Amino acid sequence: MSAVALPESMTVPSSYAGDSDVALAAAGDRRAFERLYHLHVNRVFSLCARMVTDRTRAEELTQDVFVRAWEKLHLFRGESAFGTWLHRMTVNVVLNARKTEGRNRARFEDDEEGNGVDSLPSRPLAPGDRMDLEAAIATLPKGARRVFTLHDIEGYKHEEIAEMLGVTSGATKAQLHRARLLLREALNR
Amino acid sequence: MTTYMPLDCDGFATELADYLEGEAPDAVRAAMKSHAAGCADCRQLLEDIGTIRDEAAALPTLTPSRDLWAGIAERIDAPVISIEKKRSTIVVRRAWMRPAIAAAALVVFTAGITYSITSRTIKGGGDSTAAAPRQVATATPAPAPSIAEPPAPSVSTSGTNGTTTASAPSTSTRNVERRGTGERREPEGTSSRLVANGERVMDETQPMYDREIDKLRQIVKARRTQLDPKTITVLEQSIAVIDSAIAQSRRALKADPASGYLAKELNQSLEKKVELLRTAAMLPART
Repeated sequence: MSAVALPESMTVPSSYAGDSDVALAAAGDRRAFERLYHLHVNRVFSLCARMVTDRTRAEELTQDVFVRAWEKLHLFRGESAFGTWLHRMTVNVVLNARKTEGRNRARFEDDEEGNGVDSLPSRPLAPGDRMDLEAAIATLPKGARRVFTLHDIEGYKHEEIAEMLGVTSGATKAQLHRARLLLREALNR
Repeated sequence: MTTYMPLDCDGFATELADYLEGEAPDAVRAAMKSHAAGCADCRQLLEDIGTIRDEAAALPTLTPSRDLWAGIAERIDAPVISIEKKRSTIVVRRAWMRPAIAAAALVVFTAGITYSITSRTIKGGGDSTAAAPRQVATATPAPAPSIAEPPAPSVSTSGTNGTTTASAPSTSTRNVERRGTGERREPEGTSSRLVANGERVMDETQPMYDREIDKLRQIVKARRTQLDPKTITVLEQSIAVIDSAIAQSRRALKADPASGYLAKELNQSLEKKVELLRTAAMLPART
């Protein structure tokens, strides 16, 4: 293999879409920021939802991301695309939320080796049904799901993921492989 | 390098992760391809994982179930308190707290002096005798220790040498805390001495209570505008009741200066007044 090409979602919206709005928003233009919100909300929400598996929580986190982006926008130097900056911020917000809410396991998923009971697909599977990939990802243990989401869905490199999660890249590779094998099993392939 | 070849299924599984990451050496890659070509299961595994990877990369973006902007707008529109404003808030709060801090300091100061005088009096009463342990003043968590005596009917004072006798035993209800140790000891035989010295102690502590009450009154007076008028009314009524009790005790004590019971009553009334004024001084401003 080879490195996973950046998924479509990474390039839509295009890297520099909304640049003028970024500048306006950084200057305090709320309308411009609202336009940026509409441009990026689905991507941010997708990442949150796949990282935490709870859609309600993902919506809360999405709001947190945009509030934080508004607060930190003056720090955005344009060294990367706004989408990339926002995406990275999303990962940080999700990971920090998980740290601070670690005690509140009820709203999050199980421990590292948990069976993901709270992340079962909303529609019960009938015998013979095949689980779709989205539902199967939701059943992954936390660590495996995080790495799979960031690597195979979001296109981050192992080194980047390792840095974000505070683990070694060897650990993220092992988690990714484990996630893929578990998904294959869940998908009954 | 041919040490990896030929691979069996276990070897294939072992090398799979590196292979998929593109990190397997060329020889291993060749061995993996060779094995997969001849093993349907391993080939299927490779294909499945490739499919999962491709499907994951192509997963569509998800959409929130509701418009989240309203909640975001509400949060980013919330007024931001500037540092300057925060400072002024702190200043205002500190200004408000000043009387409360003064009241607390005053109480601590007075408590210390009262304790000191009480201790000195106890130590100085060595010539007193007691027939039996007596009940002494009830300990209260209030800052100034109580210094009064047991009920009058059981106490008689000879008037010479300050010797006091007690006609009936009663249970001691007060422990004296050793300063700095937190340890409590039973003050055996001290009750009578306290009775004997009660008058003197009261003479020494009364002015301090008066001073403390006076200062607390000033604090409360300065805070009148910050307090609810109803609170002020209740406060004044309560103080009037306590003042009446204090006046009665003082009159009675004047007639019977050696009465430990009366001294205790007076002491408790003064204590109540201090406590009430201190509470009033520390009440939060009305909103």
